[in-house]
Amino acid sequence: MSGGAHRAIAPHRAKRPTVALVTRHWGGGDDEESAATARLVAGALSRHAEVEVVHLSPTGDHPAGALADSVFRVHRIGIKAAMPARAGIARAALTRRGAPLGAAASALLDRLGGQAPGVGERLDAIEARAVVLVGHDQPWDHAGWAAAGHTRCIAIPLLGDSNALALDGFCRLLERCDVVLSAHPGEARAVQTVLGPERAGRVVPLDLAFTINRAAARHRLFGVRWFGRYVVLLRGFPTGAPRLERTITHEMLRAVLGRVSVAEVDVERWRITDGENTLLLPVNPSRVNLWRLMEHAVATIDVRPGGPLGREAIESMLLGTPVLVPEATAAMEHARAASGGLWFADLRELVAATKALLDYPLRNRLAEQGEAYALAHHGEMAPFVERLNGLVLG
Amino acid sequence: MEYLPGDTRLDAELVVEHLRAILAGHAAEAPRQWSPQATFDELMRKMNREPIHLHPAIHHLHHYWNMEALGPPPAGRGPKARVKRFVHRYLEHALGTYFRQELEYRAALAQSIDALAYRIDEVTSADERNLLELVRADLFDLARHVEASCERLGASLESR
Repeated sequence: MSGGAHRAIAPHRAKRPTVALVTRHWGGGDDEESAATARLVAGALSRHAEVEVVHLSPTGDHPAGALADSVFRVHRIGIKAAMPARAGIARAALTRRGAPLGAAASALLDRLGGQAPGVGERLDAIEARAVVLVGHDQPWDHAGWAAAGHTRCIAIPLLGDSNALALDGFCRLLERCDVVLSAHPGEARAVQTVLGPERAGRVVPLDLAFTINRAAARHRLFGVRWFGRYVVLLRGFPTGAPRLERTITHEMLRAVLGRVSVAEVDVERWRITDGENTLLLPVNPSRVNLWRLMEHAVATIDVRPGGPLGREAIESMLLGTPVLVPEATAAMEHARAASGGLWFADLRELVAATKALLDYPLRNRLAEQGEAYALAHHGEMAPFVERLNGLVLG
Repeated sequence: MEYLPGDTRLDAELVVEHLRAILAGHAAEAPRQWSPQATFDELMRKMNREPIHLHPAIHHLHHYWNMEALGPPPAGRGPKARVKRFVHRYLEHALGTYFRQELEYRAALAQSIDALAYRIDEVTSADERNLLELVRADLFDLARHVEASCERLGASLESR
């Protein structure tokens, strides 16, 4: 540096495209699978694009303008006149799996879901190259917006319950979308059925990647080794997520498993039990500690109400532990696609399948197959990011 | 799962169907042999701790409460012994009453602590255990009642 002031030369940087992401599921933590998915998708897209999040917030009015959240700009738009409890009851009463809903019933459910006015105008102002709709709860005039514009549209419906496909408005939106990213094979089949054979090719697996800390997972939780072989019973995880309320399963499993212990994850209370002793595990109920428990287990038995993604089932398979999950859930779809686990419809099947998993040749084969599937579809972050950007940006 | 060929993919769906076929052939009820003991294990284990009346501190109290403060008057004939006896007599005169009261107080204290220790042991080893057993039995009854209600409800729904 010889004399004169040093001037930093800004590197030439091409203008990055903008992607808008419209969702009800946006939060700081990963308490909810849908919120975690929205954030992971937004994070992946931010690799090659500026991400503007339109958050349809249930907490009323919000100031105009965007707030900064990490690398994202978040536009909050309040949902007005929503009656979520009534909407849930009405939807459960009116919809039957696979059966179309009448126009009056659809209108009623739309009305109970509330309305978020001004989303279309906000999207127009953002001038995004592509709009990504995360979640099937989209209480805004998407039909009018879709009819007016030619913006590329991608949907990630996250159908925890395929009854949403009975809603006319939502089906029309899916028909308008250039790509529909499905969270699991069952969701893909359901959406393909709605779209018909000519549009079925638009349905593409989302194949969300999950990063696992394998170095940490190798270390067992303190005290667990004294209990020998064990199965993990997932009753409630993470904090705030739905949990199985019945208490019979832990005790019943302990009774039928004989010499195999049961490690139960029940929100913040983690315990492991053999025939005689119970140890309350003094651990932080974190995902890393769940991996440490699952890595060394004979199997992961997930009895929680099904979420839209089946994340813990995928993570268990990534760690080489077969899963046992309830029927008709996202986790079951992954287990079936991978042949990496078994599923059950009732208590008797749960017990029979658990006993079957104690058979080492079967357990090991399922573990191998599950791990291979999970690694191929959900194990690598870099390919997922590039693939998602390709699908969204076109 | 008696046979698993090594080089072909195992279809989990077939395994589930196989298990269901086995279950369909058995009319056995779902297992019911459970007990809510996990909640009580730790409490019951605490019930089995060592009785407090065996605590070493109470033993020490029993052993040393009966200490005479001055002891017998010193024996001997020399001037040193005479001086000692004089001091002893002086102390006995000045503090003897206080020492006797102190001894009685220590005896009462030891007896009180002893009684309390035995009472605590009785409570922990009997009353609380009985209470826990009662609560546990209530839970059993409640669980049976809920299960029976669920089954009745299920049967009535199926019959409609």
